[in-house]
Amino acid sequence: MTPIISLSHVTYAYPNSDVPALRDLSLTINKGEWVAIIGHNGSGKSTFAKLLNYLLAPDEGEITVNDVVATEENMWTIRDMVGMVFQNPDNQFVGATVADDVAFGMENRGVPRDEMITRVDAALEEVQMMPFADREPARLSGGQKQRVAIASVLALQPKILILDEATAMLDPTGRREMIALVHELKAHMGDDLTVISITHDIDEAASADRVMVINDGELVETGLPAEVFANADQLRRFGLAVPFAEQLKEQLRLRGIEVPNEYLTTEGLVTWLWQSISTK
Amino acid sequence: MVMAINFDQVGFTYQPNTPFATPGLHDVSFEIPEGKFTAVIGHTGSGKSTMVQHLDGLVLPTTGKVTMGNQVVTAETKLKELNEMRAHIGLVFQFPEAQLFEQTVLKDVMFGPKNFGASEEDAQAAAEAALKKVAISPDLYERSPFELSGGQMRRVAIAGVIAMAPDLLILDEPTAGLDPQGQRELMTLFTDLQKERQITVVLITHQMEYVAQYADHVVVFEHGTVVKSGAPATIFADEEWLHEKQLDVPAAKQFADALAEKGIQLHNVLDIDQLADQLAARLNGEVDHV
Repeated sequence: MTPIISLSHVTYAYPNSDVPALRDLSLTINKGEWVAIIGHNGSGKSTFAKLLNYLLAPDEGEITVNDVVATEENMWTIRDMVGMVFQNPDNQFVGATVADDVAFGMENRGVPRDEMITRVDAALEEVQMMPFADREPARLSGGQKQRVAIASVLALQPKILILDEATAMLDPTGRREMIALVHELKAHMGDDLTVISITHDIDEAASADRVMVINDGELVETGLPAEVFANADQLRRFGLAVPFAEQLKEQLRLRGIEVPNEYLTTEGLVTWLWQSISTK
Repeated sequence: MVMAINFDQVGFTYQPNTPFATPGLHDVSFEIPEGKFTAVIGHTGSGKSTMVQHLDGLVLPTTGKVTMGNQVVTAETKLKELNEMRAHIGLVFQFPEAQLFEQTVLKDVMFGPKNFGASEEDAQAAAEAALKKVAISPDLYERSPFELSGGQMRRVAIAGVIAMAPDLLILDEPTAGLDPQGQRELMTLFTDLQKERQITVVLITHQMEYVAQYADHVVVFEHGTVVKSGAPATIFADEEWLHEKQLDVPAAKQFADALAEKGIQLHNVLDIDQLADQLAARLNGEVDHV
């Protein structure tokens, strides 16, 4: 496993604020990993994302992305490697057509025209939006807009894709489609794409390889989704959602039922209940 | 004020009589019971939001009529006639914090009551009471609303609506983008308010948990019209229909359905308590022969 992002004792405070948004944050994300960052509103999750893209510069500590230290000098190298998709798809469109929009980032970077056309097609193909290439972005559904936003980022061939609450404004169908898309991208691109999803959505976080919990500017927990989501009390303490199967286990325990201690998915708990009830 | 709402054969066309005419709603007939919590569900683009725009007289029906209390709204109604009615309606859009504009928190919340003719003192009293309701402490009253956190801004914006003491409160995905705790707090605030003041609440949402937990009545939109309405238990009872409409069901119901596939049948499960009660009975060997 090769680290692609390393933070060493990073602290950042917004101007006019006495309290740092992030405090002494040290962590490593490996090449090809899909990491979910969870934490309540104001915990510092989005600040973390902005530091990775050098939209913000750390007050203290050091950030390296693919062996490049995040400094003003290296800003553009960093931004070429780190692509971001934000919450509101409507704030991210500039082009008159879907294809124009995907081309925009490359135009800015002076990619030759032939190359650009190939890359636009490939990126739209990747997110299954090719049939919409000539459509107006404003007329797409929320989920389709986010797919185009991802295509625009992929066209720049980043090493890291950051989804900053990118599913928050979508309806349940749009949300599921987005998660499925990230699964597909990971399956295609393997270790060439590292994904960081900042999210409140349990399904999205549970899809990741690893979950990190940020609370009041500090990294308080990191582990497999199964480990992090099994601790309902801790999740609540951090103001986070508890998966349904874990909530049900708690309720059964309150009713005097002995339930397994380890983390169970919905399917896992259904199977356990089925077996337990069948043997009665 | 009486705030029962009735849609009678309402149709709405965007840009009618132009080449750009697009149908928004057709044959919409349903009722929103007074003093109850009604949830409106349906896919993106199903017509939910277009319907809501009729409730505040933001648009007029192209055909049919909307009755709200004793006000009848048709294509011929002058928008000006609706001003009196609007004073009784509070509308919370998605991301309401985008509508904050005043220099201080207190002034922002006072704007609504003053706009509808309240005196300075009355507006301030209403604003302070509303801010208290949404748990914004007095030391923030003189701050700029733009210096607050996202969650605080949302609550100040909602206080602005509550301060007008609406008889009808319309909420369009009010918890979008908040963390789970913030979502819970806000939903508790709305249900408390509904019970305490006996107002009519209309909630537009994709979250079926809210529907199961808070709603007395549900209206389902699809392709610009109402396809079903009734109590949550009735709506969620017809599995085949829900599946066909690709509508989500509450997590407890989903769980019960997964158990049913394995041959364990439970009855009328909408929330986690009902689910846990029935499962605990089964696990304790109390066989249920209903």
